[in-house]
Amino acid sequence: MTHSVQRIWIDPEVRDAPLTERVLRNRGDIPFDVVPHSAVRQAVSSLQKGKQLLWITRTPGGPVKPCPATNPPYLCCRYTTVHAMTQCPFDCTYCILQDYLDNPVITLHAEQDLIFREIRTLQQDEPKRFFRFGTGELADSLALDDLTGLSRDYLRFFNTRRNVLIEFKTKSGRIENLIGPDPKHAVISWSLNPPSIVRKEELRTTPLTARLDAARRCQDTGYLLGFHFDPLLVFEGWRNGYRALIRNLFERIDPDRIAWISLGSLRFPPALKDVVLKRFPGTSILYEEMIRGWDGKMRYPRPLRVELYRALAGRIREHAPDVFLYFCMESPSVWQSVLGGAPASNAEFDFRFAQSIHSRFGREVDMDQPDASAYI
Amino acid sequence: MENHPDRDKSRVRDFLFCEGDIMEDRAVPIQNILNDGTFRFARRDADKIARIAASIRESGMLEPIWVRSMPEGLQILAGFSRYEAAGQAGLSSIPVHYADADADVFCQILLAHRVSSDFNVMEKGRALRIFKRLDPVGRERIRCLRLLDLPDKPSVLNEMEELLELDPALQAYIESCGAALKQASQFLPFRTEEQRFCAEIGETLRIRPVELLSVCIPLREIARWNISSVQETWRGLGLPNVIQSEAARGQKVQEIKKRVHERRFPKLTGWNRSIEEAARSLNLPASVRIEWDRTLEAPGVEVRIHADSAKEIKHLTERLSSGPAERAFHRMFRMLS
Repeated sequence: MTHSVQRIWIDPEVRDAPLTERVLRNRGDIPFDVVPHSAVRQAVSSLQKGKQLLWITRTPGGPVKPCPATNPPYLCCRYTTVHAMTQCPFDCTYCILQDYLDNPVITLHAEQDLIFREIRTLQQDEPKRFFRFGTGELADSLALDDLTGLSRDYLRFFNTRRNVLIEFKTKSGRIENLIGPDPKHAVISWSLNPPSIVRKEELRTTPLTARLDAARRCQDTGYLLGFHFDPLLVFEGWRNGYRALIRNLFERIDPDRIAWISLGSLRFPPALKDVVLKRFPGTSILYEEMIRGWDGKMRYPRPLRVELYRALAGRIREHAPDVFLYFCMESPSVWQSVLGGAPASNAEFDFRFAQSIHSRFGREVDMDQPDASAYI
Repeated sequence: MENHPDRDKSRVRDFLFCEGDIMEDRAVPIQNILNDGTFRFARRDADKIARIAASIRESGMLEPIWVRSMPEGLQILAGFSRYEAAGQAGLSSIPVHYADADADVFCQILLAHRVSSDFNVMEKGRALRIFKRLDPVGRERIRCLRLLDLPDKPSVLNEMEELLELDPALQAYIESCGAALKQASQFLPFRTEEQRFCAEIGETLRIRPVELLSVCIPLREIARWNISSVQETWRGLGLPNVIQSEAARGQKVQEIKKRVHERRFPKLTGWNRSIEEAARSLNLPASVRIEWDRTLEAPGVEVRIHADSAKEIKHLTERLSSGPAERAFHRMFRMLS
């Protein structure tokens, strides 16, 4: 499998960091240079160029944060994001990072100790809370794992901890580093869309079949799995497309090994629209009817979202009645219309999440019985 | 002599140059000056030129234009309006100040411009492009950006320069309206002939860019979806008839917006119509108003009752909870819940 990185630049301040050394060992014939920080921003202004460059630099302050999520009344699960990397070598037309991140360059943060220290502190501050961490919020968790080997560092770190899961969220099939280590505290998850959407809108990503094959291998290795139907798109034939996708998923994957499944329809800040139009003039995803939600983001009108979610949730429930099925950034009224009930708050959402994991996999993931008082 | 446009610039120039720097200004025959816009960044303002010409006729040309010597003649660095005004005033020779075309001099020119007027977004783009030619290494970059009130952000600067590729008619519209970068850049995804068409609509309806974009963006989206053009979509919606109608300008704009919106959002329009019909079927008096969020993001409806007495409230609430009303509300909530 190849990826788009064509050059590696190294901040002189992290030239000798162990992670830098490892990337250099794994780089094959990708050329590298030591380049001062100030030069990078000036040299690369376009995303197209930025996605070809891996910039290894210091870890910024606060690399472990609550998911930026969105504003109330839309509900969020209180996920915690780990900014091990920012930017992504894939080029999804709808990707929010095109607008969200200032720096177009794929950036790897070399000072891992800082990240691990923050994770420890967070857990110490709320010892009774079950944390879900993820490295796939501002980057793809595994797309460059052959170069960085980050997954093994995180597996090793989380392996000794209680009440915690690390999620590697990806659109790749790059799981080689996952085969071997103890899979105890990790969930490997994939974003899924029908093959026609993968081809047209998720450029440079791994085809759906290969993603599902990789998921199957991870399942067989003992990992818990996650799946994110996000962003769900309205396109001609969407109902059949998603029906086939769900059938395809459950033909290969055991529902009892799925820790969670999320649903989230296309949403983005209005400014992204111009970026997408400019970078992908041929995409049709922007032409469906959208409204500006209460959080200022563009999204499909509620009746259309409900129709989408009902179609998917019904099918998923047929195959996996016990899986924790949730919405990412949805309003309580949508929860109510589709699932018949909504968490009263983000904290309760988080608690329900923990309860589900505990009841299904508590022993497997070294997890204490969630205590409502630690959440709500 | 009152409010002579040259005066502010003259003061800035005096401030900028210490005595030793100033080369002797000389009067040169006007035909020796090249009519060349290489360094022109400011918008051509016919009214301003006429005002300067009038002033020159009255008081003569006080402030020299800035030029550099080229084999073909003298190339203007600053003072395009004054040069044109001098021609209009019938001068055969005009005072010039010789300068080099470098980043430092250009920054001085920008500063002089800033004193008398604000830069519009197109002027900033043109100035930036000239500056990059003069200073490819970017030694005076930050100074230039400060003078233009621009952030040192590549995405903004690229966009600023991209505006220079817009159709000239649209550029002229943007300049005449003083549109901000945020608005102007939204015309970039339009095809060139569509940009011209947008400018035409803007000029015809005399609307501001924000309003023009609220019509043209959905038009473009409908066009792209139907593999058509903005112009064809405009015709397909019967909008030329709206323009030619006798209605007042404001009404025309509203009608155009309505038609475009309905075509762009057929589902949303349909859902709202169904709710409207259900609400109408209640046959409620004017004292009861049913309102809902037209984006349908908020569930439910708001029922507002204006009443003068408890008796009236009782009467209206009974009516609202009657069998037919209940059925109508059910129809509404099917869409809204």
